[in-house]
Amino acid sequence: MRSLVTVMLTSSLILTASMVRGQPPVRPEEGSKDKRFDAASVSFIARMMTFDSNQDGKLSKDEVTDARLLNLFTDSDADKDGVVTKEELTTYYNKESVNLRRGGPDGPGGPPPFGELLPPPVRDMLRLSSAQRKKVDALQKQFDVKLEQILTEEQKTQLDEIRRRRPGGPEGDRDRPSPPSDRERGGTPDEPRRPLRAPEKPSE
Amino acid sequence: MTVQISPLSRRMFLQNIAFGTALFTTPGLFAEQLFETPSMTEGPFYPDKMPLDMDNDLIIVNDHLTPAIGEITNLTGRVLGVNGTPLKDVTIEIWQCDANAVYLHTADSSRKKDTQDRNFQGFGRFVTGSTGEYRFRTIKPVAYPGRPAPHIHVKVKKGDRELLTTQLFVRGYEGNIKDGLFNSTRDLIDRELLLADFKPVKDSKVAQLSAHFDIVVGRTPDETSFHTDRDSRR
Repeated sequence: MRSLVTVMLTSSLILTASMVRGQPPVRPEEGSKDKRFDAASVSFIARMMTFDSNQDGKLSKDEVTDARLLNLFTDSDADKDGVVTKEELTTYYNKESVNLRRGGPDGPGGPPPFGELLPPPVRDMLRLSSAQRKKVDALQKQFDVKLEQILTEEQKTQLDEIRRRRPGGPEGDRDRPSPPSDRERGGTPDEPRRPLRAPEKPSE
Repeated sequence: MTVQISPLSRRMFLQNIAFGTALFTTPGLFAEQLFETPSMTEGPFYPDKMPLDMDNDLIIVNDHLTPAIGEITNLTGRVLGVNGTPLKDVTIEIWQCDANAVYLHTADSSRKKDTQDRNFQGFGRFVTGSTGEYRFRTIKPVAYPGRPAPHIHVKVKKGDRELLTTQLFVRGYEGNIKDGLFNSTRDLIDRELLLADFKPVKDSKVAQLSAHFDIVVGRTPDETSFHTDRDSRR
């Protein structure tokens, strides 16, 4: 029975794939400022649309057969008509993912730039007194000045580039990166671990 | 708010396997598999010294009469494979800071002995049966400096083999959007898969809230490398 279902599903998948090709391609808009953002929202909608079993281009509550996503369904149903359209999903994504890539006001926007001795979350963790913070600031200044004297102009420019382009990774808060035994995102033990967040660089 | 727990109620809780109605969880018709629960960093406070009491009731330590401070929560769920099959004989561990934001790990607790809640177990363990269901009694997690999103750390193992390490967050908590880790998920679906609703429970002597958190594991237990569950220190 299970293999019959698999065959049916596979053939309907192939059928659907050929139908989908006839529709306008789902591509980020030309000239969009943030192609990576658009690609992420397209991917989100595509993942949600895997629940569209009757292929009518929208989701009804009973189509969402994964109970873990019912709250998301309800939240994205802006007009509360029990049906979630692609437009509603797009609006929901744009609204909710504002913080998703950048981190919020209290959370660091990314890993600390190279050469930052004690980022703010670490200072909080250590519960530095204000006197200590002042001393660390002074130390930071000394470090910055000395580093400037060591590097050439070209190296300084390069370092700025590296700091700007550095991919987001685990935040500089209490938590440290997972040990290697944890499941990596799509990586094998030999592949470098991909950051949890999309890299902060223009997409190809 | 203190809740008086009698030892009898506690024994009833531990033995009670009425997990309630399981919600359906199947993949979308055009997805081959369930969306996996995303992994998240273990953090530095997985206990370095295991507590003497490692059962699934974090509110009561051994035979103490005083329960932990905090909003007592029944945390239940199932561990499933990506095709929806319940995973049996899988160990779930949870750990979190107490109501005063102190973790059990000596790196945190050794300097905070005056604020640590000694009646909070801080760490718990449960082994799933054939239904893949698990159950804990713990407190609703609290935020702390550097982590505006309250969270419970979760680890899923088969024997010594880790299947998943992640964190569970409180749905609707305002501080979540300020938390760097909470915002580091790949997309809104992944974020949603780490959220649990903490809902009030009426007429219960053992809990004030309930939360349900199903875990879908991609890395399947490898039967050929199964080890018997040794009493490991980690």
